[in-house]
Amino acid sequence: MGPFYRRLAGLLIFSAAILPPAYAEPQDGFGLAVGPTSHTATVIISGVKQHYDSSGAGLTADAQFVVNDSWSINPSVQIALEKARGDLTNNIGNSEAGLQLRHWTGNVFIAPVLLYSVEDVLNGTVVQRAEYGPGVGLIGGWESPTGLTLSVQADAPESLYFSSSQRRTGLWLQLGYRWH
Amino acid sequence: MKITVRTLLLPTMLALLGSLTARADDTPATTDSSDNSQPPSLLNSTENLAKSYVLGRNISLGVGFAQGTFKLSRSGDNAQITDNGGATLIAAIDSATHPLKDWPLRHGDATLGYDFTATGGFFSPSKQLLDNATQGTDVGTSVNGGFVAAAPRFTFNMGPLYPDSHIYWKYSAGVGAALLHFDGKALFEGDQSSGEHSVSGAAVPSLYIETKWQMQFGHWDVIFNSQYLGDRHQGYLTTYEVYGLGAAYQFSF
Repeated sequence: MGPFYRRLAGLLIFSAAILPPAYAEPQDGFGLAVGPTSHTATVIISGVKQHYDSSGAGLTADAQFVVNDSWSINPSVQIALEKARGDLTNNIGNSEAGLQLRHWTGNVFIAPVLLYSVEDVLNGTVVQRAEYGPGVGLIGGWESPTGLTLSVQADAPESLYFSSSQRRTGLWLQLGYRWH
Repeated sequence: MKITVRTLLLPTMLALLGSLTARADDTPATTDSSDNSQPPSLLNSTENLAKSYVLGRNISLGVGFAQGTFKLSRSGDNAQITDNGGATLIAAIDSATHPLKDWPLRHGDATLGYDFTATGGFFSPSKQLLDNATQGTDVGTSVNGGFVAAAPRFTFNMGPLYPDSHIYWKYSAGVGAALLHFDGKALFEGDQSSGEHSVSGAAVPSLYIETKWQMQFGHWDVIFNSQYLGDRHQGYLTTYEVYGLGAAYQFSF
């Protein structure tokens, strides 16, 4: 487990410890959240397998359509700017459009995510390489009756498109607010 | 592929025309309450009015930012020429949505259905993609052209987001047919025909694939869309791809 994931796990445990155990049904509305992001990629570039990790910050916007007290459907868009290390040292832009089917227990949820992602490898302001395709993910989180939100999303961008020799994984920790 | 595209073209156009000339009977897209013995509540009236933008027949006109890329490829060589992105016009005619399945939401509902769309556009990319995935270089080449396309689409929409709002979300994806016209000069890279060559095609039947992600605020739409046109023409896989976002106003009719 790398230092980023150790910090992330620590933050999650700390958050769970301090957040009040309020119970309420999910609320409709737009949400906006920000937080740290991380991606790991093993891809083939010009016939050569390359591995790189990247971390940075991301922004998530979503709309929560509540079905009932147990379910909601959330279309979302996300964008992150990260710095790579490893075989690549470029800046990386990651963006995703997703659809979540959230299952709620009180104000805690878990959901599968179907997503379409784009990764831009930047050289200065120039996009040196772009990869895109459909993928899947899993998101879990908490929302307070006052609108505060916290979520962790793990995903595999382009997993429905890449061959088994190429893979990317992503992690998004997002703290935000939902307008009820 | 050519047979498939030409086979798709005629029924798609006929289905589109049929759909546009007859509003779907089961479309809850009306604000006319004359059939009801009880007048609708203000909330129901508002929701019906808002839903008519989502499920009704309409023309969308707007502006956006999009990048279009024209590609010719075959084993051994290819040419890719883009416009590097820029302002673009949005124009589409959508038929009424025919609901297939409806699920109640806490406010409003989620509807899986289908409709038909017709669209078109002009393009004039003049930046050759050489050592960059998205940003082209001006080397004196350009391709001018345009297309008309029509497709049946699956649609999924939800809303309203808030009880008294006109805010809906809609996703649609369709596969249909297009006529693609292009004419110009492109720089080819590869073993067989490197260098600049003239390229042209007149009303080339093409496969058309469209996906659209929309947030709808009453008559106004915020749209993320992708369009793909492709067919094999004179030995080359000829494609035109557009990715963009924009805002459009819906005129119901």
